[in-house]
Amino acid sequence: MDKQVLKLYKSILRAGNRFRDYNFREYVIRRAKQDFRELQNNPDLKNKVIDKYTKELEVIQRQTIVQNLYYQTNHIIEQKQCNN
Amino acid sequence: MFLRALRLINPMGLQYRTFRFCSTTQNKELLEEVTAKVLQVMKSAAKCKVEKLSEKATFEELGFDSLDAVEMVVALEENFGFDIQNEEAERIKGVGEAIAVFYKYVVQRNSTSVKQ
Repeated sequence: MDKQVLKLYKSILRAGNRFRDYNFREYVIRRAKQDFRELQNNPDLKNKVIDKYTKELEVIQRQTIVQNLYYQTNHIIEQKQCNN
Repeated sequence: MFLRALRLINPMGLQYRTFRFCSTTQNKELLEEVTAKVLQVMKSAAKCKVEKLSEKATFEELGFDSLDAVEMVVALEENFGFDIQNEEAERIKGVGEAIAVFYKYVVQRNSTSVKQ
């Protein structure tokens, strides 16, 4: 796969991991994985995915700051993972 | 038996090799810790061919494609608690390279924290 695409994918995953809220974090990472896997199977979508996720990256970076201001407690799934 | 033969040929050879890579016991323990963590993260990947997992395995041998390799590097960054530079991350093509890069960063971090 193209280096530009891999770099963008890494930036999206890194930015997504910064969400403290479980739901936002898992959603962003899951959608990114789905879309980039689809790109692997269908290379015609390359420009569309790059454009979409270049804009999405800025949104995610902004939203991590805003969402983390309102973060309260961790999700029950994370609590169970910690206990295990 | 082979090691005994090697010592006869070059008595200092083996000792020099271990000294070059692990100059102190602490560094050796740190390297083992980093290796264990890297292997644990690799094992946790669903796609990983665990039977082929070793320190010399490449991502290709473990059944990872380029996207999986990126996911592995990000998972390792999360596990270790720091980000690595993109140029270094691009050079990681296997378990050995991942161990080397993350060990280097851990040693750098430890040395800067000691200085402070």
